[in-house]
Order: sequence, then structure tokens, then C-alpha cells
Amino acid sequence: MAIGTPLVHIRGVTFSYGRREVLKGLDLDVHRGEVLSILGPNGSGKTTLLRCIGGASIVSGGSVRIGDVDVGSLSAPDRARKIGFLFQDHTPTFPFAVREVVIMGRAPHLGIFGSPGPSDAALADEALERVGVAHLRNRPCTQLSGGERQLVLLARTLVQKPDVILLDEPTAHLDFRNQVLTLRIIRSLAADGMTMVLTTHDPNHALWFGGRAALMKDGRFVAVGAASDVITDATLATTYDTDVRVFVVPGRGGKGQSAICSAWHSD
Amino acid sequence: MRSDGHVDVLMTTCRIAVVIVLVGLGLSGAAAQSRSASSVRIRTLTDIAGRTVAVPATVTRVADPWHANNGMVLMMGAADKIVATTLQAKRQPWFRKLFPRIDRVPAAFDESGDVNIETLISTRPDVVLMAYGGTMPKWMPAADTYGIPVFMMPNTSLADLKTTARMTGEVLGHRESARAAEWIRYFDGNIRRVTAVTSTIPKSERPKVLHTATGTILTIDGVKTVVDDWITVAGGINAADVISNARPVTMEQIAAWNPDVIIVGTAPNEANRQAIVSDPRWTHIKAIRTGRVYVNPTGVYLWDRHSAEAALQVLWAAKTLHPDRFKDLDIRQETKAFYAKFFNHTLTDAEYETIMRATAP
Amino acid sequence: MTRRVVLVVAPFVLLYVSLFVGRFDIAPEDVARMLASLVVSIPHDWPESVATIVLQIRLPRALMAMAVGAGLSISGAAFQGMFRNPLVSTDVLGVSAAAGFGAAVAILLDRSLLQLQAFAFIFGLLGVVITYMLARVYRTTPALMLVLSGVIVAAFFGALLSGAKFVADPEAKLPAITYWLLGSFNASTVRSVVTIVPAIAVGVAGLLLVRWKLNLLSMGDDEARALGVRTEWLKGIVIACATLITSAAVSACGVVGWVGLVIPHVARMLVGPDHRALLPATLSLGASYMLVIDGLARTATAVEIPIGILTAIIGAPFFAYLLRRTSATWQ
Repeated sequence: MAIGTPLVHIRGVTFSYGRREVLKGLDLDVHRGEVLSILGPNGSGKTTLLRCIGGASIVSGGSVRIGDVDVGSLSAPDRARKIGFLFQDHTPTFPFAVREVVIMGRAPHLGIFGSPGPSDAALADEALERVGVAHLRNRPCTQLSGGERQLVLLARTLVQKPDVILLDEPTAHLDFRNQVLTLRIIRSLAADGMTMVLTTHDPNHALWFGGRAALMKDGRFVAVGAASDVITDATLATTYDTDVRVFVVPGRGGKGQSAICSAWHSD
Repeated sequence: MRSDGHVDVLMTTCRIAVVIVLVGLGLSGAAAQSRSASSVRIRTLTDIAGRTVAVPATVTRVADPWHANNGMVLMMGAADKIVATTLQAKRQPWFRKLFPRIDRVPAAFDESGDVNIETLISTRPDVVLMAYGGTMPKWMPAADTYGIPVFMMPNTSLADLKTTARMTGEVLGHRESARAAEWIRYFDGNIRRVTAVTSTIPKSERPKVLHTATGTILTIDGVKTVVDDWITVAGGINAADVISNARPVTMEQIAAWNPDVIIVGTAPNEANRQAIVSDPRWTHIKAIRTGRVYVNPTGVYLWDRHSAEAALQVLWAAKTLHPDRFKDLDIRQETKAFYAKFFNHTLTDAEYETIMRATAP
Repeated sequence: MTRRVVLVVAPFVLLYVSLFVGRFDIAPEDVARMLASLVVSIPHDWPESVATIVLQIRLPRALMAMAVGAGLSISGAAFQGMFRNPLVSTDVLGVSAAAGFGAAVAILLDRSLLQLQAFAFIFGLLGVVITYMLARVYRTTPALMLVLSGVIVAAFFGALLSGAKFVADPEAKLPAITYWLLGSFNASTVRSVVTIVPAIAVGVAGLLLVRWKLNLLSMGDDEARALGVRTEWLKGIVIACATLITSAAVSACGVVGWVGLVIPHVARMLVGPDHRALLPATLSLGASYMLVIDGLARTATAVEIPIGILTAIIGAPFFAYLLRRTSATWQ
């Protein structure tokens, strides 16, 4: 399928925790090969939306379809072949070596009693190379820094060979350098054609990716579209209930322009 | 005024009534006090733990948590004095046949001699007869407070049984004391009769005897027990060189001991005997090969423990271990005589068989 | 590599050695000749008792010890992975308490040994079924619910067991119950080996088949599901296999603790946390350990030392040492 065609269709999705409505009727398309950033304050429902897209939570109403299949109706292995999910919190209990962790991503392609073989190990090594942590392959995963762990888990989702990767706040808890590293890897994966959907608390990430953005507040979309179009002073003010200004700055090497926003210059 | 006068009479009557009631209560209280203090005569006896115990001169209510001792009390004709006992004592089929009223006696004590003190008090015992295990029961201080005397008796050897019988009789009363003395004479007589023969048996001709305590999970009785005592008296040697009752041992250890005789001391005895005889791991043991696996008789209580029938046990054991040396010892006759004399019961042949097979009558 | 060789070979070497050890004095040459006669034909010149002791008593007992040791260890390892908890052992879902009560009932009812084992086995399974049903929440069984339900079920059957002891006749039945609960391999006959060992083997086979997936399960339910694992099925398989093994083990020899708890830790220290290597390692270590312990239990003194006491006396201090060494992390 060509880049740019809709891959994931979200129609009229609602979700409630008990009687508390968290998602109040959302429509969204995720296009093949794009980077889609979901923005919003805490409690806006962005993690819940991501979980619904990934099938980790079942929607209360509406539908989430990937291709022409309803996500909720897929079995766990089938779903894992289409969707890779990077959770925000990962506390490893056992000191598995990094390569053992990454090779776990091959599970959807092996049967119930299956076990990975040499070809799976090769794919795992490739993935480690791709995200730039091949030198850590024998390190116990309990001895990784936050940033290294994120990249290792990203490698794990790669070997699943999914159609789309969902990342929940991939740069949360990371220091500045690791944030940059992670974002760069995400963008390079997208450049290779992987569809990425991520939630983030920083609108600058969305602007930097240059893809599309969806702003959420109180379980509804405030705006959806190209990041540079929908991220404006007005939409940010509505979303975050705070004064933010968007600046246009010169692009890299003086070519073109890009935008950043800041809450500290809005007086 | 007339109404005033009526009120006066009423008030005075009330006052008098109150005084009468108070005095009555006081008197009955005093009466109760004096009954427990002075109107009941007290004897002072010394129990096996060396304690001086104040026991009423007339004992009509006795609590007996010692399972085997209940049979002794029955033998002395005092079973109707038992007001609190144990499940184990109550469930012996022969005891229930000879004294059906035991069904109505509450099993206030649990298997380790523990009791709810209020239950014990409610049965109003004159004395509690117990086996002395080295320590006092948990409920002892409470019993002391309520003035319930607790009398300890010995239970570690065959010789101890005589002391137990004597003490039991002493506590219960003159009639029972006389019975106890008769029983002791009979017991001593049997011991003498048997040891007269067995003391001459050289060690090499004494069979090694293994006495099992439990069935499904195998445990056996070792030395320094009453079982060991009657085995020795009857001219045998305990095959097990471990100390105390109900010890767990491996099959291999039993094979190493290779007993000449196995006595099954556990209910259901016949089923347990069958299990041993048909177990492929026992086949090469001498006792199995020579067919010398026996059921230990059980009557009012287990003959092989601290019961009144231990007097018969030594005869039975001697005959079983050395049939050729005790040719003119007729166990059937002895048992019938014992039951007639000490339990006032004429045993039929069928009933005798149930005792020998350790089954219910 | 040598480590792997030792792990594979050790249990069999110990099995062979244990046939020579015991309270009955048998000349080693007689044992060796007798064993050889099973394979090649040799003139039959050892006493009959030797054949009985070795083939009817020592061999079944050793095989049972190996099966139970291996089974409890692999179950413990699988549970520790599934519950992501180093303190978990095979008893966490209440199987031992329920099986113990079943055995007590059989003893009270004067059942034969075979029936006692059946009672213990069935009650063990029943206990876990109750735990599982109690722990169901919206078609999932979260780990916390399982553990809490297990505590409840174990407490309940523990109370019933106390009740059984209360009414047991103190001359015969009470000691029988007490010693059965303390654990012993004395009841290992050829027949019980033939019935119990295959049951344990089935459970072990099941756990071995899913051992790689246990790696994923040990990451947590959410992550495992995101990686395509049917978590409820997998947990069900692990619980079913571990319960089959443990119930069979308890019916064979009573309640033996500390094996399912400690052996997985030792195995993890030797081969790492990857369940593909870990589970087979626990089989070997568990079998070897139990052979040694039972050798001690049946030979050290004339009175048989209950297995449960030995495993606790050795296991608890060793676990304390592990705790200090690893400072309660997994490394």
C-alpha cells in the first residue's frame, strides 16, 4: 500500500472507566508512513486513546480498525503482528540480557509452544543495530539507563515487524540528550516507511517531526492536521489552558523555516 | 388517712421481704461456702508428681482425660462416676458394650488432655485423674482457683501400671481400692507365671519383635515404652533400637532389623496386617516368611497400652512368642475368666474372637 | 559447556550412588553385580534380600525423590516467573494445604495407602480450582488476586486440617497424620512410582514446552499481551501443570517445602534468568538435591528424619545467605 493512505481508522470511539467518560467520541485516521503526535495535558485521555488504538484497552463504543479488521476482534498474536506498543513504564524484574529481551518481539510469529531460532536471533541483532544499541546486546536489562532501555524496547517492537508502532510518552523520564536520541531514531524509522503514533507532552516534538498532530482536551480533539498548521497560539491555549506562543525560526543551515513554541516568552 | 395506713403496711412488708431475701442469699452463700470448706471431709493424698492433693473423702464424680485409665475405672466398677472423658475412650466398642451410658458422658477433653475450663467446671468433678507427662496442663491454675483437685499418675512402664491402679482405687474409694488390690494381685500373678518360664530363655532364643504403632504411615514402638516392657516379660526382644513410641522408620531399616515376629498394634488391625503381608517390600523379612504376623487384641482398651487388660497382654504375648513353652496356657480361658471377674461379663466364643481380632463386638 | 554437562550427568550419577547407600548392609559388589544383571546375564549369586532392598525399596524411593525434587523445582521456577516474585513457591495457590487435608481425611477413614495418595491428589487439585475461581476478575486472573485467593484457600484447608487432627485418635491416627505432613519418601513402592511419576512427567513436559513464553510472561501481563502472548491461556497452562506436579508430589511424600523456593534461585545463579535454560537446570538441580536429602533422611539415623524438616533446616539458612549475597536484587 502506498505511503499516505489511511491505515488505522478510528470512528466514534468512546471509552469509560466505570461511569467516568474518558473518550467522548473521537474520529481519526492514521496514514501509512506518517508520524502522528497526540498532544494534550494530563487527563486529556491521550494514553487511553493510544491503548484503544493498540487493543490494550477495549473501546466502550465506536470502532478502531486497522486495514479492514477490527482491532478488538484480533487474537493477541495477530494483533501483535500488526501493532507494536511501547509502554511508558517498564520495570524489569529479571536480569535478561538485552538480546534476550529484543528476541521476545518474535513471539507473534512463533506458535504457542514456539521458541526463537537463528533467523529470529539475526533479526534481533539487526534491530539492535538499527536503533544504535548493538554494543549493549549482552548487558543485563536491569543495568540499562532509561534512554538505553527505551531504545532496546523500540528494537523489540521492530522485530515484531508490525504495520504501526505506538509509543506512549517515549521521552518521559529521559534526560535531554536521550530525548534527542530517541526522537531522532523515531524520525529515521518513519523515514524508512514505518508508521509511528506517539503521545507526547511537548508540542515541540510534534513540530520537529513535521508530521501530523492531534490535540486533545477532556477526551475530545481540539484540532487534527499537519503539525505546523494546527499548532497555533489559539489551539495551544485551548488545549493547555495557558498562554503559549509559537515562533517561526530559521531552518537548519539557514534553509527554510520551522516552528517552536514556548511558554516562557508569552508576555 | 386510710390510704396512708395502707402505704405504711406495704412499705413495711417490702422492707421485711427485702431483709428476708438478703438474709436468705447470705445464708445460702454461707452454706455453699461451708459445704465446700468444712461440711465435706478431705483426704490428703500424694500423687506421682510429688504433690499433695486434697481429695474429697467421698468421690462420686471423676473426670478422666487418660484414655486407657477409663478402662481401669470401669474394671473397678466405678464407670458410673465418670462425668468427663475423651473421644478416644468413648469410641472403644467394647467399653461401649459393657457401659452404654458412656455415650452420655461428654468428651470434654481433647486428645492431648486440654479442656475448656468452663466445660470442666460445669461437669462438677470431685477430682481429675491424669497421666503425668512431666508438666502440668495449661488449665491447671484455673482448676486450682475453682478448687478442682488434679491427681497425677505414672505412665511410662508396665510396672507403673500397678501404681496407677493402686492410686486410681485409692482416689475413687474403699470398694475400688479393694478391686485395685485384687487386680494388682492378678497382674503380679501373671507376670510371675510368665517370667518363671521366660527368664530361663537364653538371648539367642528370644525372638525379635516389631510392634507397629500406626498403619498407613509406618511408625513403630521402640524401647523405654510399655510395649518394650511386655515384649521383654514375654520372652522377646524389641527389634527396634529406637527410643519411645510411634517412631517413623524406613522400610530399609526394618529390613535391616529383620524381625522374627511382627505385632500389628493399630486399628484397623486386620487391614493393616493384610497390607503388611501383601506388600512386596516386606516379603523377605523373616516374620513374613515364617507367617508370624499377628494382630494385637483390643477389648475395653488396647491390650498393648496402659490398660487394665495389660494383665492379659503378657499372657497373650508369651503364648504368641513361645507357644511351645506355654502349651498349657489357654488364652481363651484366661480372657473369659478375667472378663467375668473384673468386668462382670460372660464372654461368648464369638465375642472372644472379636477381642482377638481387635474388631467391634 | 562443562556446566551443562555436569547438570545433565549429576542426577544420574547420584541415582546410581544412592543405590549403594542405606541402613541395610549390602556389599557394594553385590549391588553392582545385581544392577549389571539387569542388562547382561550374570550368574545369580547374591542374597535374595539384596534384590528386594535394591529393586523394591531403594530404586523406587530414589526415582520418586528425583521426580518430586525435579517437579517441585520446575514448578517453583515457573511460578516465580509468572508472578514476578522471588518469594513465590509451589504452595502459593494452596495446593499443599488442601492436599494435606485430603490425606488427613484418608487417614481418619482408615483408607489404604493408594487411596490416601488419591485423596491427597484430588484435594490438592480441588484447592487450586477454588483459588482460581475466586481469583477471576472480568475474565482475567491478576497475579495479586491469585496470591490472595491462595492465602484464603490455604488458611481454610489449614483450619479443616486442625479440625481433623482434633478428632484423630491419639494412639495411631494423630501420629500418622503428623508424620505424613512432615514428609517422607517411605511410601515409595514400585506401584506408586508407576502411578505418580508419569503424572509429574506430564506436568514437567507442559512447562518445558512453554518455557520461552515464560520470559515474556515475566515482563508483566500488559507487555506480554502486547507481544502477542495469550496471557490467560498461558497462565492457565502454567497453573495446571504446576498444580498437577505439586499435587502428585504431595500425594507421594507429604508436604516438602523450601525446594520449589530455593532451587530456582540457585539455578538462576548458574544459568541466568532465561527460562529456556533455567527450567531444565531446575530439573537437574532439584532431582540431585532431593536424592542427597533423602539419602540423609533414610540413612543418618535409625529413625527416619522427616524430609520436610531437612529441607527447611537446609533451605532457610541458605535462602538467607542468598538474600544477603544478592542484597535482594535478582543479580
